[in-house]
Amino acid sequence: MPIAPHRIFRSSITNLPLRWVLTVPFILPTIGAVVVVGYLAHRNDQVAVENLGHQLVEETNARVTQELKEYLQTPILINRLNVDAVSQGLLDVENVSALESTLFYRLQQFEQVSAVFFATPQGKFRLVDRLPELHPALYLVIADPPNPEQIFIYRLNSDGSPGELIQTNEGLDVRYDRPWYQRAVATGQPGWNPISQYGSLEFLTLDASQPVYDRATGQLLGVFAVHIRLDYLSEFLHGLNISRDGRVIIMDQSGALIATSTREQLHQFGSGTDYHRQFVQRNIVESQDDLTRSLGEYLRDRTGELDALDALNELDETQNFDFRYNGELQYVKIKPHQDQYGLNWRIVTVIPKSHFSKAIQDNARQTLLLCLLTLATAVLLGMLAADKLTARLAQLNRASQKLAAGNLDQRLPTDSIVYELNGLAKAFNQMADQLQQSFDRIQTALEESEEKFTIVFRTSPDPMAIATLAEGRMLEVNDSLLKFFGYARAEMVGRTALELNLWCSLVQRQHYRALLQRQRSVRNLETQLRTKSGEIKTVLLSAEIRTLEGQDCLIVAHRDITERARLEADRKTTENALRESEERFRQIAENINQLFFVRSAETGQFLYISPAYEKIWGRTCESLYQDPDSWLESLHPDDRLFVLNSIQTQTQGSPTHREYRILRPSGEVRWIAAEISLIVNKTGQTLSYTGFAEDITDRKQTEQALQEREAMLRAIGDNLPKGFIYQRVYEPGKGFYYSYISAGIERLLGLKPETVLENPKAIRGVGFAEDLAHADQVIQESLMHLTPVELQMRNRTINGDIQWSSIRSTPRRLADGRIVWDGIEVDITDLKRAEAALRASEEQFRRAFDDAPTGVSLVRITGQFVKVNARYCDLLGYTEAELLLMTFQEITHPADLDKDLEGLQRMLTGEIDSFQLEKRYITKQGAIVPVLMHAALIYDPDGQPLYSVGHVQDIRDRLKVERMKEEFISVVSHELRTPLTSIRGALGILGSGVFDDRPEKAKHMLQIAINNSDRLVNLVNDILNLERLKSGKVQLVREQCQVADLMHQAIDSVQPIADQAEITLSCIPLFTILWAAPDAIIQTLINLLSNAIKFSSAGGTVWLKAEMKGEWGVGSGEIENREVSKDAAYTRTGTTTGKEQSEPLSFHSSSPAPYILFSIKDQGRGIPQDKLEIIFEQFQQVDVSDSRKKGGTGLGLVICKNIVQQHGGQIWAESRLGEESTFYFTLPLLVGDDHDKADSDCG
Amino acid sequence: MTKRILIVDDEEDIRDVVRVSIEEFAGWLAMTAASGGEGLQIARTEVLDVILMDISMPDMDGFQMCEALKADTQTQNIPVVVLTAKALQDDSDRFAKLDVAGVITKPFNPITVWRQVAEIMDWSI
Repeated sequence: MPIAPHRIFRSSITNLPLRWVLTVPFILPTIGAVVVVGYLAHRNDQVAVENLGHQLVEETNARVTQELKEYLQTPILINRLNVDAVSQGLLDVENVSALESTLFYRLQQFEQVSAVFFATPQGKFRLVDRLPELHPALYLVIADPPNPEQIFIYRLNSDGSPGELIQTNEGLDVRYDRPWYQRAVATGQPGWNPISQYGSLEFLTLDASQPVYDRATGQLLGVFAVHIRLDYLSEFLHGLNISRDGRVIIMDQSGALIATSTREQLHQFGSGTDYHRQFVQRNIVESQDDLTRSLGEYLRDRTGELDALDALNELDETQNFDFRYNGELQYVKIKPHQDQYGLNWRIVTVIPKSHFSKAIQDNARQTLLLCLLTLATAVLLGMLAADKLTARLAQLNRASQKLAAGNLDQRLPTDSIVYELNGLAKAFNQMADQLQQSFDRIQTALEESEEKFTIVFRTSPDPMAIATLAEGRMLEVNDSLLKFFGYARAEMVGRTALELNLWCSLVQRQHYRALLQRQRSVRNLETQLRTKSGEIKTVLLSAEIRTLEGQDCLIVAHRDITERARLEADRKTTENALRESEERFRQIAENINQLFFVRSAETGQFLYISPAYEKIWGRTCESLYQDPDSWLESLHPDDRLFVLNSIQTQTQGSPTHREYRILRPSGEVRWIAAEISLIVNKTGQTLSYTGFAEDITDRKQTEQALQEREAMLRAIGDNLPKGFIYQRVYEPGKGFYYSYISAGIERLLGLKPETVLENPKAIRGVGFAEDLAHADQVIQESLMHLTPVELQMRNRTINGDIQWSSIRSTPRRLADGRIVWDGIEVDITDLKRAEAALRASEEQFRRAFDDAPTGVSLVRITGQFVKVNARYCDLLGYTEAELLLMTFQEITHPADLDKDLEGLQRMLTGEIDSFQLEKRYITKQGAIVPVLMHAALIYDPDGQPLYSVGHVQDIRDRLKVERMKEEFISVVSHELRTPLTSIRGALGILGSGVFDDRPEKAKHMLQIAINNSDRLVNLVNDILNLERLKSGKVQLVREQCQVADLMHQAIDSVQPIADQAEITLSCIPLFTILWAAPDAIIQTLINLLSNAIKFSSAGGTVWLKAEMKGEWGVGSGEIENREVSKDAAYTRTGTTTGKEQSEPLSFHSSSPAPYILFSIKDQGRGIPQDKLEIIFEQFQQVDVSDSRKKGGTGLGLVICKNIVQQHGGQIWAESRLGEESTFYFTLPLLVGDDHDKADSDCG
Repeated sequence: MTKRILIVDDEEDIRDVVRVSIEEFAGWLAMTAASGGEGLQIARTEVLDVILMDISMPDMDGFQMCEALKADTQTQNIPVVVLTAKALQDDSDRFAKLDVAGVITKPFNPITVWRQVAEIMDWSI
């Protein structure tokens, strides 16, 4: 529970003097109010001072800026007045006296400037200046061409007229040596110039200059300029009188000081003389004025720049800072000062806070002092008043405290000026009187009580003692106690029970002390204590805490119960032993399932019957106690006599065991086994019978079931149709023998069971040696490790056939060390035959599957592959192992998957039995393979679909043939329709009569029709020729022919077109006999020559050459070893297939037959390398338009190829693009058998 | 207004026949080009009402020329009528994709071929 805050306050603040209670609550608020008022006043002062400071520095800076602006306007104005005067014709700069007078007048008019001057491009220079340091103060400076560097200085009279020449200087040509002239001429504008030396004096000047031009010609007349001495500017700032400790500083962007209100020297002149003195302007951080320099350093540190005040460049806006100088706050304002004439300065105003805050602070200090004075007075008066009030109360307090301390004669005066205090004093005096009387009465009663206690204590028969509570040190003991413990009084008084070793057990002492602590008294605590003689006494200890003579004491009384305690302990021990013994016996008797009983031999009564009787007999124990022979009523009638006889034997004094049946009251039969013993005394007289009886019904039933099962087993063994059962035994020292064999052995092996039982080895006679050896090994293994035996063995039947047996037996080790195999042997000959047939069938299936020319796959209905054959793997590029981890969905082209899955689904729903589909697979390499797939389902014995078997045929070749056919139709269609279009068109136009009156046009149309008819005829002829050649319908009639003749005939045929094309034909004939069809060879040569002529330019040459290659009976000849130059393309085509063509040239490599090599070479445009092979295909020309331009049909080379192939030769072309082409073909020279064969071929 | 027709065909005889057909029977102005490249040049420089174009041509075939015409803003709106001896289904599919105005199969009747063109172009005659 949380404690209220005011309670905590109360508990923490106690015993405060009344004087404090009366004064502190009044003084503390007074002090608080004064402090708060003083703090607020001080804080308001601070804020006011700060605002005032910023305001003042703002105003000062504004005033400085304004006045500086006005000051600096003057030089610009003077120049403008001068220029305006010239422009308006009021001043002629050529008129020297007027010019000088004007300059003098301007200087007089404007006191702020120190010089006004003018210079012309020709070198004329006039300057009027004022030097207040000298007297008289005005001077005229003159320079004229042709010696503009010669300077004359005259004193000026007060009316402006030149006085005496006072100085002549040299070395200054203002046109080159002063920036004011150069800048004005360069810009053509009025403006400020860089700070420069003032003439030959050690002053710095800021100059304003402005050029003046001839209004008519625009020619430069000269430059007017004005000097402002920088020390005048500082003087001007000083004259502003802003504050005694304040500063006004003008500096440029780099921090170089221009002017300050401190009038310090802002520059240093160095080397050089007269007009050419070097000077350095002082930077703000180098200022001689401490405040100015500190400010410069502050600004530098503030920007983080260490070497320059570059940051001032960034001060494009007015900025305020509070900066401390010598611990005093300074209000700083920096304001950029720029004008249109190029001035870019910074005006810095600094005003110390003390400048205006001193008076305010004095005022605040005075206010504070007044507050403190008021406070002190209030505190003093408060304390005096409280002192007066509390003096009487303090007296009352002191008297009360003394009264409380027992000093009862305290009395107070009743003469105070305060009424309430007098009342209080009277009440106190009355109370003190009453207390005195009460005290006297109590004192008397106490003395009487003490006397009674003392008598009781001393005379008590129980040992008693008075001891201190803290230590237990005995203060007083009675005589009974001394007698009880055997100590003298002097031995006990002043000592503790521990010191006297009275406690037998320290644990008991701790318990006793704890009780005292908790309940301040103890009653009859049984405790063992030790007497002086060492005897242990049992006492009942009682004690109580009392305050006697100002200290906590214990009054202790003891009662001796030692004898009583001993008797009690003995009784308890005996009882416990008896109880435990009984309990053990009872538990044994009641928890065993056997009946236990004890029967008196004398009376025949049962002395004890365990509860098991009720369970076994189904009768109560009580009934047996009452009638000891009542158990005989339950005996089974068949066993009654046997039991009564047995009892007779038992009474004659011998222990008895009997097994018999009883009938329970429910009629249930139970088997009982009973064991009876006799207990006799020393004289041999029987005292009682003890017996055990148990229910053995379960055991009896098990024995019976075992007997029945054995009989059944024998019946099964004897009736096994094709087999027998046996029990084989291994007995150490005796070896193996059969203990049982069923009758079936005779039917199976033709051996009688008895024979084998007598001679176990008889059974080996029907076995095969190798099977028996294996069986011995297995049985030996079983003998050692008790492993089951499983064997398949062959036996010879009586008919001499082979019979297969399966033998299974399980070993077990008997307690006597024998090992027994219970086994069965059955005939499995039929099974073996079926297995062999199945294996053969599976092998056939496997071979059909594996060796199938089409891909075959077996997949689950989920798509998972179960089996694939080699062809399937080849087709897809995966291994069998890879495919078995995949599904057919993964390798099916996504676009075909839906069709495939739909087919599968229709099969699964029973709509169709199988389906066929053209689909695409994606191989492992990513290629797409089109296939024709036939799929069907395989079912399990329950008719559930198990697998889908798919036969897959690669249809790439078929599709390729189809595509080629389509392309051929397209090309032929185009080749036929094109000339037909021209013919139809030309004839149609002619037929329309539109050109009836224009015979030349009609003739042209007619010519078109004729040309295209010829083209069509050639094409049809070529196609038919080719078809005949290809189909073999026209057999080439071969005969012996002279190669040279064939070549000449071909040359003769093409000579006219060669002449027409202006082509030279060159022929190198070969004189040898060839076995060939001459017309076909001539046609081949004509075709190749025509092509060569058509593609040659006029003036070119075509060569025809024939050579003998290879040698009779020698190797393959030149063609095999021919080197092909790198830049010469070549191809060949012959009887070989496309695949073989890509191999190295090997014409009849295995047959060293000689051949003739024909070559036709031209100097035409050449053939691109990629076309070299396809030109021998139908309608494949290098250029599609060649058929029109060159008159070919696109079939010539195809016909050549066919003719050469039919002769067993090869044809190819080589070419250098743009240079030449050579067509080669070979014809073999047939000899011997070949000759004869060729003869017969040609009919 | 006289129609301006460009005939593109590598077969000179067919060009002559079509030109006669266009000029003599329809009275239109015919220009001819012997190749796709030549045809493209004329199409870019002349104002044409239709291009009669062969498909099988050397260098640049009719399909390529059509694509080139469509790719050029100057020529993409000139209608194209194909004159072809091609007869396969594949070819027809390609014409459809090229967005040609019509297809006339070779051989054609020279006296009426201009009418076929006019019908395709929906010109009143």
